[in-house]
Amino acid sequence: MFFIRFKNRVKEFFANPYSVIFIIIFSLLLFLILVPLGEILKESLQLSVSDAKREGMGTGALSLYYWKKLFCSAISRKMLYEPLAHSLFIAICVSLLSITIGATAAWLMVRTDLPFKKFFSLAIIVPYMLPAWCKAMAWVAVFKNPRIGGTAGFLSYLGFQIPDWLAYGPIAIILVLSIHNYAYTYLLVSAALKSVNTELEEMGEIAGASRWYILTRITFPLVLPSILGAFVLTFSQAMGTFSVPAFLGLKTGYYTISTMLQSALMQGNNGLAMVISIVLILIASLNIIVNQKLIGTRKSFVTISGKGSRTTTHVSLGKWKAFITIGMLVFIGAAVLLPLGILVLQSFMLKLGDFGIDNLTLHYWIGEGQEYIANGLPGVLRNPDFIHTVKNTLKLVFATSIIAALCGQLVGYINSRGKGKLSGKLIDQLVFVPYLIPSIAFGAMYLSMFSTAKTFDIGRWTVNWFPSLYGTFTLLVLVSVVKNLPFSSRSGTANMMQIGTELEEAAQVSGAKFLTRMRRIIFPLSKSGFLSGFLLIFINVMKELDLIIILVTPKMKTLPYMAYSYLTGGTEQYSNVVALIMFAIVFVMYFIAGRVSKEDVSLNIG
Amino acid sequence: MNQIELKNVDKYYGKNHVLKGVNLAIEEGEFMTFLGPSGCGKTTTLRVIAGLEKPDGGIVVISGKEAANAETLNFLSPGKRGLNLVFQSYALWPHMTVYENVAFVLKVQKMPKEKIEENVKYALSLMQIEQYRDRYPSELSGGQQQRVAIARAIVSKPKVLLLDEPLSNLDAKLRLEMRSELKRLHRELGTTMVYVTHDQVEALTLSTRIAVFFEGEIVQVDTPLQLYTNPATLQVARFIGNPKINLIEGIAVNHGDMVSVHSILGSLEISKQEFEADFPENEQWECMLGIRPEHISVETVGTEESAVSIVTTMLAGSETLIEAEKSGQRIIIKQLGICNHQSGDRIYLNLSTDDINIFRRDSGKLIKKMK
Repeated sequence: MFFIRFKNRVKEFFANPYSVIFIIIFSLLLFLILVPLGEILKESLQLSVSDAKREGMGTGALSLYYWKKLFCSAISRKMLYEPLAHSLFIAICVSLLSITIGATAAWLMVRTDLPFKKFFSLAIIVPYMLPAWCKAMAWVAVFKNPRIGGTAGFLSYLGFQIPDWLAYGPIAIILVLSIHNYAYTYLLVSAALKSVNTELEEMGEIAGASRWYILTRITFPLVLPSILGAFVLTFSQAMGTFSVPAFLGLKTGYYTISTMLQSALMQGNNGLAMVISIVLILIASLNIIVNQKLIGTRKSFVTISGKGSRTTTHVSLGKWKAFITIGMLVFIGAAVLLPLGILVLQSFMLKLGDFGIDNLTLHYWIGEGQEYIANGLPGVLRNPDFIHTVKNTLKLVFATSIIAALCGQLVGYINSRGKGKLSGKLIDQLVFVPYLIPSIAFGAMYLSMFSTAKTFDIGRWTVNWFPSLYGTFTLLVLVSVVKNLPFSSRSGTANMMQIGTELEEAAQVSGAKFLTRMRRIIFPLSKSGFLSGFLLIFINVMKELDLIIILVTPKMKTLPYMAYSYLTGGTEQYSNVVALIMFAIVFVMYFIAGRVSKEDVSLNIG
Repeated sequence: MNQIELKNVDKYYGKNHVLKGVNLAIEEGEFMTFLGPSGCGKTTTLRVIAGLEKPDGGIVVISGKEAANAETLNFLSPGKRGLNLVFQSYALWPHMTVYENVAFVLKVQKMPKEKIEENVKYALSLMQIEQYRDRYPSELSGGQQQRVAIARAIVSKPKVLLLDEPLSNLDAKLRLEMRSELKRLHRELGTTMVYVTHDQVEALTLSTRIAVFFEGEIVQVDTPLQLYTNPATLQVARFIGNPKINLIEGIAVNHGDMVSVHSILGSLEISKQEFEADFPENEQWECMLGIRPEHISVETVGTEESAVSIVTTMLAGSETLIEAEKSGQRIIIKQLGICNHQSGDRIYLNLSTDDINIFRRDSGKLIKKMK
């Protein structure tokens, strides 16, 4: 009896595709997320060879040396407390500013009679397509002054005296990040506003409440969960962001915790870098936990959709209409057109800082190498290194997006079919972990995990069970796939949720085996969802700099990295050209994504 | 022969005990309906039969073959049980045409192309939807989608057809139409059908037998007529019938071969022989009288004992519902035709002991059936 039970249980387990997929995904996630986390911790406790010698301890001994050094030593202030204070200050300011901008824009777009809505609805999210570091580059081009930048920025050229605090440092960083990050708030809050039934507000009006009273007492509490959600997103993004503070802070020695992490790594202080990573991860987790507690009790609001699908009544802006419209146009101009225009203009300038017509050239685009410009570096489009990098980037982006989107669908399948089951919850939580870890720390984690081969010893033999991946294409794909897993699996889950279980059960009752069900039912129905998941990841990875900056080697570089290294190498025009080409690719992909999701609507799924 | 047998089937969702030792035998060719309020376990039982849920205890036998055994953990996959299912939501595959939807099961069975064509044609004609064969589900109305779902389920000629509240998404008129359609289908195919519904009219009109579920247990399995006239418990009596049965508290006194039952409607003398086996032997016991509204007739003259006063009268076309009151108890009376009474009027009730169900108040069990 016992034997039959056992046999049937084993048979059952392996015959059930759900459990097989679960086991595979679970062990992969364990290896790719939890093990690297452990690796970071281990490395933060293990002395390097030189440090061990200096401290008179054996190599590989465990000690709190790096923790002590970072938290309470002569360098703590410079290495931890100051950068941490900077990061927190920046993250809080950016969150407040971008939530104000985003929520206001959302309200104006959804609930008022603002003109040109069609134009604004596209223009408002364009800033998000331009990577934050491109905007940082544009900022520098406009505001830099000859004292620090070496050459004059646009405003200096026109004769304005630009003080250092405006050109570089916290204010520049906060403004650039806010202009970038308000898109999260805008998207979340406008979705929430759209789902709030206007009848709820009309009820307030009937009760005799004033506009302002309704806005603050009815509308605002209803969208508060989405605002808090936007806060979590913005805060973690700003806290972990590397590229913008690197562009705008390092020149004046203004460090944030993420730039400090990178510089520690560059100087070979791996132990210290790992401790900093852990600090970053802890702050991000804390932020999310606190906010989940806050949102948790109020979450139920989000689903209030109401049946009133009739056209919403719009608040009339009255005499403010023209003023607000112009304000929006100016904002869009400053956030989108200006940075792009500056980048384009600068890419045609032979000498930086000279905005005259006779200074214009196509050299940095298509010129042949000339000895007196940048040591004979040819124009970007003629540079074989560039062609190589484009190929490499596209290869990386395609490989990552396909793998990530596929994994997302599988995770989505487990999530949607395992709803309420322990296994489903487990995967759901695990997949979320990479989201907690700031990109730069995530890169550091993978560096420490995969820079050396994994071995274990059996007697005299050493078995190499996992090769060193440092400098390989595989590592870049791996890190990008795992870091994007929260996004791809969210899109995959949403996609799979749309496909009712009954559609699959109907096939099951008809006698279709798992693979047949996948091939004939699930896959055809998830095609469009797969494509939009793919495009989402594609765009994310294309722009990505923070995540891979410490993993990239000169042979394996990507377009953002190329732009970054040109910039730090002092040849800004090359950097501008590369950034513009990258932006063009992203923009085209956005356009295609828009097309695809439009088709999405017409395909009526179950 | 029994087509389906459930023996002591238990099912838990987490700590929630949803099926509590369900026992049921469904004969070949039967139209068996599972009836009960929502959350009573009827759909779960259907899914256990289909193989979409695994029981945590008990045995399921389908067509003489063990389909599920919680003891040995032997579970036959749904496709191997020789049955098909019509879902409440229809679950039509939106990316396939009507033809492809219906042909799917045959393709899975690797039937040759010409045979598929022939079978699908037959199923579509049986459901009278041949003209829609190249349409997609989204291009069909609710009623047409329902027909496709049924065609898809019967095309492979399953021995058992399971239907999970198939009519609940249709409007009232279509529901009536589909009801007679299902009855015709059952007659023409002779397939064993298991039908889940919470609509008692549907259950009473369609079924050969009905299993009534309450809180994960089957409380009565009977023909529609028996179920309506002699509900096994007070719970079933309250559930079946619209307007609801009148339940009136009473006291029974045993004397000799006779039992006198006293209630607000006066005293009734009933012979002991009319009572069932678990009749209480005490001299005096509490009971509940069950009287269907249509079994009460109204007189204009009568004894003081049978007098009630009218609260409201509600005209419902061919019949009139009278709500009357006596000693704080509401009594519903259904009269054919149109009655003109004013509120406050006194009328006199005429009852026959043959039309009265008597239940024990302690166990709720029926102990005197209607004749």
